[in-house]
Amino acid sequence: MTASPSFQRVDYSLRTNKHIERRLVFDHLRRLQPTFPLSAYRYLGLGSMWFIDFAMAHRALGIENMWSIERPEGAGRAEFNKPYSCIEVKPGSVSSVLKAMRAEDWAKPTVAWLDYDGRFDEEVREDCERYLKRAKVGSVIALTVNAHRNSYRPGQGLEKVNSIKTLRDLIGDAVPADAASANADVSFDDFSGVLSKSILNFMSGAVRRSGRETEDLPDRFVPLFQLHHEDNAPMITIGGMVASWRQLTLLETIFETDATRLMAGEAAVKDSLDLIPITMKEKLALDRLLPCSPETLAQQIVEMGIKLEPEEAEKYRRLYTHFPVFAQTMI
Amino acid sequence: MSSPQQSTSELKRAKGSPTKDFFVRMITRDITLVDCILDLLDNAIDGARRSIKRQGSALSGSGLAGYRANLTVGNERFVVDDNCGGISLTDAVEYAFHFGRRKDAPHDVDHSIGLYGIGMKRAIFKIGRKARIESRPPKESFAVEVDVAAWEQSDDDWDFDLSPLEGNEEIGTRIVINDLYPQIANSFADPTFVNELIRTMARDYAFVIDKGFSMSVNGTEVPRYEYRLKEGEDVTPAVVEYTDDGVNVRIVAGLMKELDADIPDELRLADTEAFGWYVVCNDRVVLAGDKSDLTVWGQQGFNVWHPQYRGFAGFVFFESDDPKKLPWTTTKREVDVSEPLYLRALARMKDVTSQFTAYTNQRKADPVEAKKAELAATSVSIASDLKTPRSMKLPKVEGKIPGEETVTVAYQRPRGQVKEIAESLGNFNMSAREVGIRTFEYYRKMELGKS
Repeated sequence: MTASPSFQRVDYSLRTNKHIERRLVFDHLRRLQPTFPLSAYRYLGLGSMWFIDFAMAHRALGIENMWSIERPEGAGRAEFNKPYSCIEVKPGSVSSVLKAMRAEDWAKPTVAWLDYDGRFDEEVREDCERYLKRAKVGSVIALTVNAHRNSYRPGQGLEKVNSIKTLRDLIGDAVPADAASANADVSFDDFSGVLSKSILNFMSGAVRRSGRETEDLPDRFVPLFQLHHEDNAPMITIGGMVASWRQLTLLETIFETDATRLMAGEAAVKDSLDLIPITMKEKLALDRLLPCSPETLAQQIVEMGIKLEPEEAEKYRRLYTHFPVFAQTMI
Repeated sequence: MSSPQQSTSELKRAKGSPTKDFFVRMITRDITLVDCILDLLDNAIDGARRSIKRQGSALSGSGLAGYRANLTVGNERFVVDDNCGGISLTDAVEYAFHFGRRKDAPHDVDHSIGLYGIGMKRAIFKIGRKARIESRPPKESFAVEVDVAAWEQSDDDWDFDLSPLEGNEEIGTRIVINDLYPQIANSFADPTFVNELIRTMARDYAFVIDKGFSMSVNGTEVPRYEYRLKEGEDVTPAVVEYTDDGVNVRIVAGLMKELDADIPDELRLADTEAFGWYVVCNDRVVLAGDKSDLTVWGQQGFNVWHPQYRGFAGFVFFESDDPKKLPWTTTKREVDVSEPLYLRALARMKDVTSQFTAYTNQRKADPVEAKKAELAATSVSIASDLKTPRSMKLPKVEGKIPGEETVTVAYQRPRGQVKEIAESLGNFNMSAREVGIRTFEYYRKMELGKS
């Protein structure tokens, strides 16, 4: 990877692409309403001190039962910072909270967003597996993990282990058979795609292997998210719904496709979000041109003297309705 | 039920024929979905061999080149499509749809892997409720429609109707199964199942693919997997060959991968999967990487498998023109351990295994030098390079002058903390044991100034 010039580097605290990703996730979830009564669901997340996804789940989906898992040492501060009274801070790890859930807790359908900073490892795998096995049918999972290839290549120098081997050790046959040959590793650019596909396969396999059924017919996993975003490190957000056969037919109607295509990931929102930050002046100038075709935009930015690379302007054109505006205020 | 009107002579025979639904349930119960699919591939491979025999060419080297079987598995249907000669109309009328191999069935293929005349029907019954078989042999193509529910209606009529098929499509057989059972459809829609199927096919048909046969699943070519053992100046695999009751038996065993300098505490399954014994009948792998008493391990006082042996692999090949002589069961996933032919082979397999297990103890005297010698050997192909008999050779380990007496240090710490140190040491997959050694060495260096 080549280092980008400093003006293209991201103010990490603002995280433009992460913000766009959240908007895409919640917009996609809204498509499930009103067929799936998400406002009666529980939202399970890792709200940290900011609770940004919680605010969106509350406002966009109307969810009023919310659990935020927080490390015990941060739980007090999180309790102070939580924006709504309906948020319950659960001290512990995801694993300990899931393990402590009683049958009546699992009985409530849930939207869980397990938004990790780190890589997909044994612990995350077990958290996902536990959730997919126990969650009420109709529940949704979104999982965010680091997708930097080096995070999956232990060792140093020439001793580095192939990233595909790391994945195969973790999730075996969920890794596509043709991901890479025995000795060669997958390329840096292709890795996040292979990782996304592998984890989605793993989720689908976890639902099947759990043997869970509704009305004597097997529950299925339907992929709903396959997103890649990059503010600093490359990250992926993947996930979907554990659906009963009745819910599968409802999803067929919502997404106007058949069950086979649903399970193959056709209903998943897919995007790669790596927009560079743009200034307020550039944003206002671009917005005045939008909506318009890619060709028109390419031509107009030259005429107006906007010094953005055409591909960056095109990314903005595609996602401008989701692009955040961050402002500094004195309070 | 008897009735007052029946005479005693009418009561002399008790009905013993099975109902069809009982029959269908029983034959599909003890076989996995993957093994059912492999049964269909076995039929295709037999078809290719039959076709070659008809053409009069010998089976050697890449003798199966040009023949293929393609699988399509999905939520809606299952398809196996091959170009392996098709089923002839006479065979279909007389034998192929018969349940069980008829006594008068012709012996028309050498090294057959089709055993009991049950594979195709069992696979259909296991997978779905409706099927269509299209066979296009060199002449007289035909199709058979199977509607399992309708067929089960009559307990007396076990036959299937054949109808002629027109067209000039490629010679071969195509089986399409529809109306899949929900659990089967669930598996077929799951990519992890499909990948498992590809991996199993690569492993179990490695010696068939090696001869040129090609297979694919949903467009992905099943990779050619070549089993190899190490051979060099200090290392030679054992090769034993003999004939027993019309069965050719070949045993090849040795070092698949250099052994570990020491045995890590946490052994991952994936790392050990390849090691152990393989049983291969007419080129079809029946047991792979076995570490149980189905082969030598723990058999009547023989050593049970131990992580110390990882690196060992043994292959026993049974080959016969008559598949009934081979020591496998109907699922082709188990061996018949009471079969005298197999017991005699086991005795020889134990001989070569014990040479190896003894070596793993000897090498403890100087594991570093032993590993050097193991690493120096190159890998050779079991299928093509290890034909002629030879004795097993392993590095000679001269014990070093005994050093300072050692003690074992063992303690427990939270997993997260150990992982944190492993990461800081530059390898998040480092074993807990290695973390312990490195931190001990670090203390010696930093606090005592010793290395």
